Amino acid sequence: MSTNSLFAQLDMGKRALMAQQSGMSTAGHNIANVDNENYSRQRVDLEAQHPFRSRFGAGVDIQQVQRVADRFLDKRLIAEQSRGGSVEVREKGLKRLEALFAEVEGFGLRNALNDFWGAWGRLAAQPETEILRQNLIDSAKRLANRVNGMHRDFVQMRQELNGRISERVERVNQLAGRVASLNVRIQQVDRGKGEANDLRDQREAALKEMSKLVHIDWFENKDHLVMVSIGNGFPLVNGRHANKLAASFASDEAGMFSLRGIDPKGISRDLTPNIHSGELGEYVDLRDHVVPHFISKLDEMASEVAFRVNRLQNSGTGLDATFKQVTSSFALKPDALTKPLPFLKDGKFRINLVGHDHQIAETYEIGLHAGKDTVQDVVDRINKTVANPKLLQAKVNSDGSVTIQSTGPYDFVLGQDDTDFSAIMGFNNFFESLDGAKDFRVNPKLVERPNLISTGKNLLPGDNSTALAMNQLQFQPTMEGGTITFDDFYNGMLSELGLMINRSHEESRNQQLILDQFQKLRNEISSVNMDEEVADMVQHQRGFEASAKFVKSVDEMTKTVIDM
Amino acid sequence: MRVTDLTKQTAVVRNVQNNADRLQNLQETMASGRRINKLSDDPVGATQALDYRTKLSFYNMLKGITQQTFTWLDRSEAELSHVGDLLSRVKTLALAQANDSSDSNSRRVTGEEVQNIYDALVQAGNAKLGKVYIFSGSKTLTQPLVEGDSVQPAEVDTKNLESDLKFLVDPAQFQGRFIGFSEHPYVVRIVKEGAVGHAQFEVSDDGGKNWSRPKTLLPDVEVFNEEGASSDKVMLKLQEHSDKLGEPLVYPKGLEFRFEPNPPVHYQGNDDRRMIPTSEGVLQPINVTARDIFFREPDKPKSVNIFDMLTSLKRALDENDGKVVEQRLQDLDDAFEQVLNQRATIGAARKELNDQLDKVRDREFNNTKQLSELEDMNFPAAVTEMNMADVRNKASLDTSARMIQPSLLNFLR
Repeated sequence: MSTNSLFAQLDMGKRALMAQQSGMSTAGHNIANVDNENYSRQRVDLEAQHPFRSRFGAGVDIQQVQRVADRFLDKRLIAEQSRGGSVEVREKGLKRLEALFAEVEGFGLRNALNDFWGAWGRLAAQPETEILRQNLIDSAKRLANRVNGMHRDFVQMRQELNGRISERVERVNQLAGRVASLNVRIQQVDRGKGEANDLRDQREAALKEMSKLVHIDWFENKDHLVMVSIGNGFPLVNGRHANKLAASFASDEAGMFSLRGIDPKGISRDLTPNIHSGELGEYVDLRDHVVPHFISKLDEMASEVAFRVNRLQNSGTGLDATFKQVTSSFALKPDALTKPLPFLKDGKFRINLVGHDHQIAETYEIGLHAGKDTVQDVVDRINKTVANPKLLQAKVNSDGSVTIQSTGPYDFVLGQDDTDFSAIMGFNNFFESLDGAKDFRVNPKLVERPNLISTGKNLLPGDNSTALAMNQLQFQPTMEGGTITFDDFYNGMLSELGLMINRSHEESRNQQLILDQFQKLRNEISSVNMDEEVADMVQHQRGFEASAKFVKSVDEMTKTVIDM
Repeated sequence: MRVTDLTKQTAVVRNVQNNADRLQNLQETMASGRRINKLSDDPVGATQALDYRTKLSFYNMLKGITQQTFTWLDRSEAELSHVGDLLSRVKTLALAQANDSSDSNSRRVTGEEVQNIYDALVQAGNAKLGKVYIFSGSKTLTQPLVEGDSVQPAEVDTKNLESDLKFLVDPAQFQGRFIGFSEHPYVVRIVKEGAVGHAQFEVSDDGGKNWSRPKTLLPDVEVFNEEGASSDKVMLKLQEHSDKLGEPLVYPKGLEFRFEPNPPVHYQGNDDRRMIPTSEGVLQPINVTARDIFFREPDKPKSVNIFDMLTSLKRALDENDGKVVEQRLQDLDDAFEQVLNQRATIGAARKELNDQLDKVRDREFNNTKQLSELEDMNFPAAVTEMNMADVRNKASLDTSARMIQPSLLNFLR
């Protein structure tokens, strides 16, 4: 049939009408998705029909409905999501940590420390005044509460991060399943010669979200299946199947999840150390590195405060504070009993016997040797120096603690101690802290009897040398091998955190700019411009009208031919 | 560049967000009046601010302590001034009684007044602030001055008896009592055997190294060292007859009666200084002890044991001995000087405290200023910035509105 035949022209008019209609429909589809971020606009590819043995054109043919997208840009945009998710979570996490310090608001540890040292100063000015002892106990309790509270908050934050990890793992699995099922559908549609434009949009959206959660490596194979791997090569989406990422309890720390990849055979592999980027990687990093870093710093400081204060407390005396018996707070484990006592210094450890008149009747000086004496050696030497079991006896208890006991009419107090023995064992501690900040607390014996607080030496009620020394601890280099003060150390922690926040804020802003830029580039290519679509619509409408007119004209022409 | 509805929308939302964020930060700053509201606002500045706060807290403590200490110093000064007044009164009394015109009656009455002053001085030395004795050194819960008992049994020593007598003589039969106060370890030794009235004795005031010339033994032995520094007088009362037999008691040669040094008033405190912190690393002693005020220091030639001196004065007045009264006048001047010195110590401490307090206040002021400069908002700058941010925000909203609203649809009829 020649193209010039009227029927052929009617056919041409029909195809033109269909083409205009499909253009209209695509414009409608585009306009409907004007707000859809993941949508790539579609375009009807039209082609002029090749005339069949004729010099006249045969009208239009719909080639395909094409998705307007730049594949490399889309791939880049997906990849950049990981860093975006990572910096966003990091900034939020660090800001949360910042709030826990509550330092600038004036409720922080620095404030509690200031009050604590100040209370020692005030007590030093009036060591006989019991109300000031009570005041010191109160401020020490506030300090302890603050230290415990910070530790608790940090630990709780780790638990929350842990919870987030399991949430995110759940979502990653959902998305992996979605990608796998979209793979299947896209393959089906492609095989059926359809166009899976919208499914591809959906698949890319899923990959984008997944990439924000965790860094993924992915590619589309020749069968149009997307393969996704995470954590150095664990196949999360293997074509038509999705494997599982599992948050299972870690073996090395109770309650904390490790990330395991489980393949169809049920064999699992620990991926925790390999997952760095994305929200998931960042939650792991915050949980396992950032927060524990600050916990350990806090522990270090709490232990040192306790040790320094205890050392002075153990060498000093309080008000009428004599003992019949003291038992160390610290108990040595069985294997430590036979080893030289750690932290012991060379020098003399002193015990003073006290008569009924509250005067010191006798001073025993016990010479100790660092790195050599075991706790049993020390106890033996105490007993040997006293040389009278009817006055004073020391012994190692079955639980590894040490008891010094007056067996006669005399009470006793601990005297000047160059060896730190009394502070190491903790006979008369101010703070008890066996495990850093967690169990840092004021010795309950002191709370019960504030007169036990050491303010001076040798039971002289007006001697304030110990209290003064306590007050001075604030400005003395005590931390990091005696090079910086407590305040300096704590400032170090704070400015480290502050700078981390600033850096992450900066990174987050930069990453946002990068993402915005890519998104903009993508939108320039793939997203919908309403005006364009309206113009297209007008064009298609007019085209349709014209085509209809053409069909009508051909029809009239046909009629004319028939009426001839 | 192809502009799409999504790019327009994203840009508008982003810009509006940025402006709102900036405005909110500014608003927070304005509302709190502080430039640093979180650690991350300025990590270095925030920790500096903490250091300033620590200093302020330290200065606050120093101020508190110093104020408290002024009460202590006031009390010390009041007591010392009282002691000075009492000593002046003694001086007046002693001057009146030193001349020959005074009779024994007026001297006896004066003696009673001296006794009252003596008691008042002991009381002043035992002054308390709350429950704390202020002149006790660091033994602040121990009463510093305790009056001794004027009577003490003599310690009878038989070790210098001739060897054959040593075992025959029962020291218990020689009972003697010393009456009176002295710092000297007196020894009375029999040098010629015999009953009271016949035997002879000599006296040592240094525990038996140097001896006086022999005197006849009487029932009341005046133990007195004429060459001694503080011419005190102690009586040794001896028995004339044996308790059991009623026979005259024979005192063997070499028998010694020992006197434990018994000052009229003991000092039970110690020499420790009470130190208080007045500024960074500076400690200020704020106490004097009753020993400094009332007692003789061996290494200070002009120092006086005020209680010994008054005891001696009282006895001289009782005994109507105008000469001894006159001798005490110089001691009184020295005693006055001694008390004045302690007042000067307290006064110097007060001055030092005042100076340090001024310094602390200066530093506190500077610190507060620096802290304010560090963390407080610069109001004019913030207001200007706020205005600019406001203008920017409105402009962006306005352009956004113009950009989003119109579409080709508006023009298609």
